[in-house]
Amino acid sequence: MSAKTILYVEDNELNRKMLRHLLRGTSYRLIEAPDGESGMTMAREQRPDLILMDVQLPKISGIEATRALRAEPSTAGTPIIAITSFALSGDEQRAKEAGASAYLAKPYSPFALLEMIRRLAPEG
Amino acid sequence: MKGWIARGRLFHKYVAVLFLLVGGMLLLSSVVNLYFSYRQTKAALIRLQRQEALAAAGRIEQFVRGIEQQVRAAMEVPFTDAAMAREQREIDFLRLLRDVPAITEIVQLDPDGRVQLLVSRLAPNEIGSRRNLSSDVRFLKTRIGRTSFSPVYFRKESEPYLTIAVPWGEGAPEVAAAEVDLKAIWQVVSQIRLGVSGYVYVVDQRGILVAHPDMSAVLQKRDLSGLPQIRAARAAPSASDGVTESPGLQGGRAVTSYAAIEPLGWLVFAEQPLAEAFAPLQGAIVLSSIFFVVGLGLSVLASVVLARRMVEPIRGLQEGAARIGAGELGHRIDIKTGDELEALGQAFNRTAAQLEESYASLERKVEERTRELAEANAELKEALERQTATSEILAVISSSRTDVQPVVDTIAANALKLCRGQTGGVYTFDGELIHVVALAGHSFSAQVLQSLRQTYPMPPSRGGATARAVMSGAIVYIPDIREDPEYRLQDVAKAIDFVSIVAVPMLHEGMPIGAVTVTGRGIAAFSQRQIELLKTFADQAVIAVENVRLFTELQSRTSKLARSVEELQALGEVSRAVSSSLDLETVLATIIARAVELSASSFGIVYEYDETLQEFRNLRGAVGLDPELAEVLRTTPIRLGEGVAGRTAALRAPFQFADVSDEQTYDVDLIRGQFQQVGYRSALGVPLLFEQRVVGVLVLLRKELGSFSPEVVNLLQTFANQSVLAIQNARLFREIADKSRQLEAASRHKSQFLASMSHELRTPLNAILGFNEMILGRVYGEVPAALQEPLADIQSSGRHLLRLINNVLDLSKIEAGRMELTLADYSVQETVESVRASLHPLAESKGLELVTRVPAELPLAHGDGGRMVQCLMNLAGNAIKFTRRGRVEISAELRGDLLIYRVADTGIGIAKDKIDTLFDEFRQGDATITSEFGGTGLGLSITRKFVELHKGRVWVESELGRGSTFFIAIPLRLDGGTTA
Repeated sequence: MSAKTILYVEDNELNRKMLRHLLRGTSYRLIEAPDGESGMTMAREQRPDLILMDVQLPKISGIEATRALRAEPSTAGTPIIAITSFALSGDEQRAKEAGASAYLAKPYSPFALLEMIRRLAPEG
Repeated sequence: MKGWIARGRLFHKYVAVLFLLVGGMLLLSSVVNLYFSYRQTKAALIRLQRQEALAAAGRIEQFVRGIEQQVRAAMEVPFTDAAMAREQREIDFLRLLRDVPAITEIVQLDPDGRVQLLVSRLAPNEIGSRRNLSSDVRFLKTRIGRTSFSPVYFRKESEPYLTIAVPWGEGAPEVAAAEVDLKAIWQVVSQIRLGVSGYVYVVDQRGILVAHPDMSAVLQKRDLSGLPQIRAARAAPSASDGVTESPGLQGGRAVTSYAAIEPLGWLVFAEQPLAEAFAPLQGAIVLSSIFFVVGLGLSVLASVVLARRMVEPIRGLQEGAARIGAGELGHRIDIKTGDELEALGQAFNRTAAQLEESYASLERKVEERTRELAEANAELKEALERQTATSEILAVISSSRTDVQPVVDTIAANALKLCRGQTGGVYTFDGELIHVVALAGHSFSAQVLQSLRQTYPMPPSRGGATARAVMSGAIVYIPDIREDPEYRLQDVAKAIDFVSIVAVPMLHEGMPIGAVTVTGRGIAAFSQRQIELLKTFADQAVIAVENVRLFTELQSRTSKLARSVEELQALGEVSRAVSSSLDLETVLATIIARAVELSASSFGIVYEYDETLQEFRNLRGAVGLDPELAEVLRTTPIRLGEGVAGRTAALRAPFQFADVSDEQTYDVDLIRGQFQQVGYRSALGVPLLFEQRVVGVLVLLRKELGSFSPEVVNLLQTFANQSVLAIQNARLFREIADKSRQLEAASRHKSQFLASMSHELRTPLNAILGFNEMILGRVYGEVPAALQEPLADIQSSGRHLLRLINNVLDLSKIEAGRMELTLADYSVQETVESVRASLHPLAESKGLELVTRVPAELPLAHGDGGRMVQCLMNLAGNAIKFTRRGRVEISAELRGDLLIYRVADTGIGIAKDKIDTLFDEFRQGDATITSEFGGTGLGLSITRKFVELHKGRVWVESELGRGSTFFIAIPLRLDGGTTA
């Protein structure tokens, strides 16, 4: 069984580092994108098993990217966890509408995130 | 008795009836009488005859029996010796013969039938001859032991004889037979007389006559057995009451009765000729007949009389009724019978009398009626005439609303016609003089016209009828003008040739406005009704005049009204424009257009006034403007006091220029030149004032000279006000628009700020908490014991910071109005339970009891469940925080539509003076408490904000040292649903 790939689209380096460390003890393979555009490209090319999409992104917002990914047949079925910053109400609603499978608000417990990942894309 | 036939059926009926009745009765009685007489007679007859018959029968029987006895006695001899006996018998026999002359012969027969002894007058005696007579009937018959009597036989053809054979002795008896001469019987019979010619006769058992008063009849040996009476008697010999009518022996009819002689079997008849027998009856019959006839006659008479008496009155009634019925109501029935008929007659008479009366009264009534009808008819004709005239006049009135002349002409003509006057006229009074407006008459000569022209118009006076009527306002009727001392127009009267005159004033609201006058040739030529009619005409004339007046007035008013409507419409349009359109240009254009229209100007313009520069610029809206002029106007600033606009503004009141081409008046040369070129002459300026300040001026220009009417100026002022409003509205609107934009921008900035703030603050926190958690979660390997505590501290500090940030952001969001509730149905139980679950570890760690109490039947709430959790978490968390020992209770209950949450603790409580500011931001009981109990100090204010967003209320009840109870009361359902 090949390891599942997780794509993390996040512009904050620290957050990315955190997840890298978190996933060290797991069989998941992590690929990272610093913005929405590259995120979409990577998603298309590498076909990850799960996408973690930060909502707050430069250029294209996470919501838009999610919507776009959902529209593409190659990524339409991929589970996407939207990571919102819980600023304005309606973030969750928008995320859901865009097509996110689940959402998590910042700041989140890394272990909670891991659990969510494991649920949506079991390690196998 | 004449008149019998003349009298009618009733009479005859009565006569017949009575006659029949009486006659019948008489007849009946006669008949009965006769009958009874007959019977009586008959009975008597029977008795008599019977008596005789019986007597005769008796004597004959006696005779015969006597002989028998003597014969028997003769046979009795005391001697037993036969010879002696015989001797004795002989002696006896002879004696017998001697004694009884009737006996002619006696013979004794011995038991064998031989003659022992015979003694006879005629024949030689026989003694012991022993002649055998055994076969003699005399012998034979006695064998039976009884005396036998032979049938009668005749000796010498003329002498009837009878043989009586008597048996004697016992056993075989001897017989002694005697021949008896029946002459004696004849004697007997012939001695009997019945009445005059009645007699008795005897008949033997064969029916042969054996005895009859007339011997010769007997000698005839007549056989009468054929006779009915004989037959009947033989049939019933012992019947004794029969008296039969039968053929008499000597012919004719007779009445016969009989008696039987038993031993002989003979019958004795007593006969009386019918006539004689019933002779007594005859008398009775005759008498009866006489009585009958007489009676009949009397009865006829009586019946006639009676009938007449009965019928007469009835006839009287009948005739009388007929005559009355025929109409002779004066006829009276005269019946004096003193009975019901008389009463009936009276009744008839009464009826007749009543009828007479009725008829009489009816006739009277009819006469009256006819008269009335005739009168009514005449009235009706008159009324119709009047009606026709009136409707004619009315028709004219309605057809010519604007012209009075045809109406008054018609009135005059009709007045003349209906009053049968000489002339009819209609006059008007204008307040000073009376004028003739219509005159009708048969012909007016030049002279008449002349005199009229001289008289009219004339002022009201008492000199003329019309003048007097107008003056007094009352009807003037002069039956004879020659008799009226005040009358002055005699020459007019003579010219027209009238002596009586009636003038009816035309009154409008009590004031005379004219008169209708009719003149008449004769004296007192006008009836009350005609005067009434003239009054009607006068009223109609008034109506006509009024109509015309009203009509003209109406026309003028209508045109005025039309103008007002136009103005109002324009005003309405303007107001609408002002209120509906915020486009100043459009509004002003509308206003100016209407103003130009209504003021009949050529063009209009609105200037806006710049206060600071004290000049007019910026002409806004111009209608009907020549482009060259427009250009000039646009570019030429007008100063205060200059030109139309300037002067108007300076005055702050509408200002008119009579002639803008006049140098003297209009001072803005440039513009004047233009005006002249285009041809504008007069101008009007109306200031636009807003709160006493001049905002602009409305200028109207006309190509004609002359002033603008005050109404126009007024109207334009209204328009001016509207214009001001429009301008102000536009300004306001601009300001509002600007402000809105600014607000919008600010709001956007705020949201932006919040979003970025949220993100900026949380991102590093995410790293701090995340990494820390990962370290503690042994992602980086085992954690040295010494590091456990500091790391835990870092964690809790980080969490605290996070909470702080969250609270601040929440507050800001609420402040910015960006906080929205996520409304949904949620369960109160679940809400409370999640709070309890979250806080349970904390409570347990402090050794506090954490209980919840929520009724199971609580219906679903509708609101932001998540936020409610946050609020309850805040309150419960505080409760736990501020309680050293005891318990914290979270409960919920429903009161009507309100959901009441309660968080009660047994903590330190809150001082009264701190309660007020408790829910303010950043307050907490005490700085020391803050440090001991932690907390951000923001929770309660946020809770309050959330509760308020929920349209609820949060408050606290507390006592220092005793604990606190926090309440949240919110509507159970924010969607308005009830708890039903």
